[in-house]
Amino acid sequence: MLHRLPFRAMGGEMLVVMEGENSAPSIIDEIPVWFEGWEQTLSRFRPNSELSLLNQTFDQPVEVSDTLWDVFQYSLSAEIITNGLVTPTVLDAMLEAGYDQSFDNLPRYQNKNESSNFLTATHPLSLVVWDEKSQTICLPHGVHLDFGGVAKGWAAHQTVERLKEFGSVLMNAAGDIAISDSLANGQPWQIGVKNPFVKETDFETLNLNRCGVATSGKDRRHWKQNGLARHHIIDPYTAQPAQTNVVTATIVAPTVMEAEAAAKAVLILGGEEGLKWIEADPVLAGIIVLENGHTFYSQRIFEYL
Amino acid sequence: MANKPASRNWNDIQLVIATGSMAFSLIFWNMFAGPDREAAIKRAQEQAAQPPMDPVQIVTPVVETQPTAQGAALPSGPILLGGTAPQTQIIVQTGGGGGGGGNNSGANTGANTGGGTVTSTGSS
Repeated sequence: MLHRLPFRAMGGEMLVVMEGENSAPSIIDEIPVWFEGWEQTLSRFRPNSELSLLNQTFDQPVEVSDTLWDVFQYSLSAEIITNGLVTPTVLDAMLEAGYDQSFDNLPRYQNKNESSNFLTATHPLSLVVWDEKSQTICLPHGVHLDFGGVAKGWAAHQTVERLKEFGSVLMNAAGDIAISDSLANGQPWQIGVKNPFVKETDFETLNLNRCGVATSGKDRRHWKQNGLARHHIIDPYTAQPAQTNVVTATIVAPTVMEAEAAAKAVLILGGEEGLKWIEADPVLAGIIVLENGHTFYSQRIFEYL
Repeated sequence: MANKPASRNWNDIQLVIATGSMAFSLIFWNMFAGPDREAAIKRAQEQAAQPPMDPVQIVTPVVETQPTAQGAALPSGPILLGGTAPQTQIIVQTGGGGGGGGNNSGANTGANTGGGTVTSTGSS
């Protein structure tokens, strides 16, 4: 049978589903505690988090925890595989766009004075100096990090890795889903893909085994700043919310971190370029929903439909 | 008393010479053009007797690329990795486009009612 544990963390709804015997293993109760610890390390909204403290220290190496180091390394990978489209150095641009507090508390209509330090591009992560042996990170002046979706994907992945010995497990961290394996009867997990235009409905069902799937979109976290529509996906080449015709991009990949990074990249690239980019990578499959209501299906996604 | 007829002036002489030259040129043109024309007709008849060209041998016109407009900025986006062009691209209508249903037989199967799905992925 399937044991479900919904809870709230990292500003979103979490759900862990485990396959097991009649009673769920006691370890399942520890999962919210894990998330609380990870959030305390990785959240930019907590002024005393490890990340916030790192963001206040410039030009000197700071020894970081295993968690922050691991997420930082995944961020490096994400920047490489997306040609720089997904990078944690977008924090300043995010703040400039008005996303300066938890989205639950964020005013949906903002008036902001014109900034004197108008950003035209974000810093590449390659400016950050790190040392593996001492596990230190040194931020140059003016560079701040925001792990955002990478942290959610990483947390989902970690949860599945810790729980998979108890049976097949699925972790949904606010849309970023990690799956350990197929169900005991050999059947795949059935995952719905939300329709961005009709709340609480799915428009597609994916049949997934061991993999990751994630959706990035501008349909939920959006607001207006001086009358301009804003959302939380920053294009690092412009340091502005991405100008894109994509509403949501759902990507299936070997891991949820890859899926999350790819989904964000596709959203920034736009529908047509995003589809080409997915097709060029043999480990990715995706569904892209455009503003005009059209939906692009990559060739490999049909393996999961 | 009747006027004495005017003698032929220099203009008349030029006209006569020009007319003569043109007539002389046309005569010689026809003398030498005649055999070539016959040969051309003969070649055309020979070609007409040959089998038609292989349809595969299609001569495609040369398409020249348009020069970049002076001063136009080069694309600033990322350089994408190469790869095969997408071969499958199905477009269906979802709720946002004002259309319902769709061309994809898999769309909306059971999912709208939540049947069978454990959870859903959506933007967070």
